Amino acid sequence: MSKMSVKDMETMGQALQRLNIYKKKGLYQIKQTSGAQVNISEDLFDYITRGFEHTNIAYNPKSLNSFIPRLKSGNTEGGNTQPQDSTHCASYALAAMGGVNYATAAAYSDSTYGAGGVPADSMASFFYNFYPNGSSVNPDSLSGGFMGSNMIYFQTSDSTGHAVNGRQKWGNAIMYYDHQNNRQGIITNDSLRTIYHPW
Amino acid sequence: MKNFKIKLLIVICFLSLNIRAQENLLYEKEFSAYSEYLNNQYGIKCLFPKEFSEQGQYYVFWKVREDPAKHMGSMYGPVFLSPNEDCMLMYSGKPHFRSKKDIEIAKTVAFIEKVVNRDTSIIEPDCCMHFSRSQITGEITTALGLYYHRGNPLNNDSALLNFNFNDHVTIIAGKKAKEMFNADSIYIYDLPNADSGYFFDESLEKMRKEKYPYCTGIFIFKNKRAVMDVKLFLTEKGNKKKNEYIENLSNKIWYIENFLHD
Repeated sequence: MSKMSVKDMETMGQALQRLNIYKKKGLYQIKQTSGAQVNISEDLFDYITRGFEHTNIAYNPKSLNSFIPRLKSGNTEGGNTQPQDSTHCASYALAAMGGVNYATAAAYSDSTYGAGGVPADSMASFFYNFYPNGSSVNPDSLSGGFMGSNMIYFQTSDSTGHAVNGRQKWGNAIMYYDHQNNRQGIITNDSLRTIYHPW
Repeated sequence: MKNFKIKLLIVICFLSLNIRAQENLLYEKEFSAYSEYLNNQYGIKCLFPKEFSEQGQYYVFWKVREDPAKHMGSMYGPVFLSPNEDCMLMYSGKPHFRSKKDIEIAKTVAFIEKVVNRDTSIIEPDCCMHFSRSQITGEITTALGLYYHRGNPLNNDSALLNFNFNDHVTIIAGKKAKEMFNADSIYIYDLPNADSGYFFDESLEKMRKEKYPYCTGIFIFKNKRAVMDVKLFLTEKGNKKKNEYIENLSNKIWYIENFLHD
């Protein structure tokens, strides 16, 4: 990803939005047959088409009814069940708040901070770049209950952190949802760096 | 005196309204409000488990481990007790739902990452995995001491890669799942070393510590619908009757057919 420029990423994001991409029998299909149909270059169209073909193979076309679980000793329908690290947690959490395109956020992150992701001390400037009218909230000042749209950032080591989306607050704890690995967790206020609201 | 009573009533009304506003609750802390919320938002009908009594506990935070660095856990309530108190059972406080749009966005994001990284792996990204599998894996690996939270340097990555979901979880699908909950599948698992779990609520934590060394998790799954998560906390005696307690849930949680999420 770091090899692509912001413009490349934005172009690809726009191209993906223009294309009519749908799923049929568990496989990605692109309605268009040439780049000219949606006013993108044939090279870019070919690049995206090959990507989807590769993904179709990767997603194992044999398991068409993927929601039916296999029983013990069979393979799991979801493939690997282990979390894999990614440097784009902040872009993901930002996109999950709504209103910000993931590709744009990830491209900005790569071009501004490099392939290592948004550094802990740059999280605020990254957030405010996309939400200039947003605000950071002290977790202790938040009242309990449903949290709505927000991004929370917590520390994972002295120099690294992780961004997720807060869901519910109770006392000094917050239940969050991590879109990157599709899991819920609970964190206490003392582990939190900041909560960001879009308003 | 009459005026005083009216004033008192107004103050009480405003106080309760104020508390509710401050807490920003999804539903009032009572079973009728909870069941109405699940019915309207998720198309899931809920009833008390047979002969169990409701404890008036809602928005209960429970974690696999007390250690603040270990994050796996969720929100539960209502909480029920069996007549002999051998089983404390709780329903999910907010079933987990991912809209088709959310899933497609996640897949598009994963796809973009695959394309731009020239990723040739054949592993489906985590974000596309079923919530039930991901959450259960997180809970069990945390209980086994292998997992803290995503990105934590203390995660035992090599052991996590070798974790076999099917060694720990029983999956019931087909007719039985449909008969019990009108669901597609049911995931049932015993949480390892469950005596080290943790409730943020002091009274529940005291009960758990004193009485319930065992914990069984149940995730109920129906395609394109919210996932319902149930936890059973069991005494020594209750653990022997675990299957009975699970059977007792039959028809108490029920996916209404043809429900469409907003």
